[in-house]
Amino acid sequence: MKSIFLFLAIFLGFATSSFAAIIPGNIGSPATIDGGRVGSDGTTGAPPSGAVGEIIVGTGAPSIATGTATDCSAGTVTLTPGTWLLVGYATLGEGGGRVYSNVNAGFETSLINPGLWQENYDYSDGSFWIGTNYPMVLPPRVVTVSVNTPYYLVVFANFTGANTNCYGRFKALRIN
Amino acid sequence: MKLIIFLMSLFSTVCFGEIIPKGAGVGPQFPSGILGSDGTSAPLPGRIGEIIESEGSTGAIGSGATGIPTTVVLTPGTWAVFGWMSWSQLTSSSNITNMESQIREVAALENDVFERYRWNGSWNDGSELRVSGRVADMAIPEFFTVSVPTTIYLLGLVTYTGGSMEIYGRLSAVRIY
Repeated sequence: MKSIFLFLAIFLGFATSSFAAIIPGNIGSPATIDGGRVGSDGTTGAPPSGAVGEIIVGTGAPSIATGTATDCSAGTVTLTPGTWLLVGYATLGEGGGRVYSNVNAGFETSLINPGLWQENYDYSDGSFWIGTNYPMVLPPRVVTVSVNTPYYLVVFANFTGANTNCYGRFKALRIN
Repeated sequence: MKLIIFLMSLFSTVCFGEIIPKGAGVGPQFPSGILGSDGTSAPLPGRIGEIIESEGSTGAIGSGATGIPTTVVLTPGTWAVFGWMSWSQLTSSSNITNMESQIREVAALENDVFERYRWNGSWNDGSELRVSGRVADMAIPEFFTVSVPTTIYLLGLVTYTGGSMEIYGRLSAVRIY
């Protein structure tokens, strides 16, 4: 009997030192055996916070003034450490009657004009539009953050007339 | 000795399944895990990175009618779905006042300004958008978690006068897990 316990103790020690922690479930990258993240087990719906496949959805509908960078997702998206795929949509002018001369939109970590046309949505063509909906599908982005980081769906527009509304929807999907 | 061997076998099977030594560079082969491919070809159905694509056309579509250029069927898991739509003149030039699109698990456009793409209006001189070819834009990307095989629709609508129009579209879905 002593020999059995002795053997099990030796085997358990070997296994613990050799294989680290094993977590069952769907895996996006190697599991915690080398520090990678784990997905959900595929049976309980959307993956929980911190798991591959986690989804964050944020929306906002603020008033927007001409020449002002506005967070159209209303500060609703904070990314936790990891790598994320960002997609989003914004629409201007529900109710209509504006003439726009410039519209920019992008994902930013501060309220700046996302005006770089190489990176973000940018439509500027003189006085080009009067209508009830002007839609913008934002260029998707992939970002990695190491600390909790607020991201904003920022819209900047120049237009005539009174303030209008910006309706923004921001979705983030954890890749790792 | 037989008892020792039996206990060892039982212990290792219950606790570790198929064992891969630490530092081997790949994860253990969990029986229920969804893995990627080995990198030599596109991931197989059910694996991370699996891709499903489909494209098509509505054919001639009436002004203001909802059309479905194409669909994909997602199997259980979480997916990112991207789409592209072209509102196209079919027989002669048309004047457009409204274009819509949406990627959705229901075969009807959602009447919500947040959820569906909607271009609605005219140019600043009051003239309508005149199309003698095609107008195109990206659909709003969507993420879906589904627990059973689920049809995802690419939906389109165009309001126009004159001529005849149709809607082309493409869907690309990639499995995240």
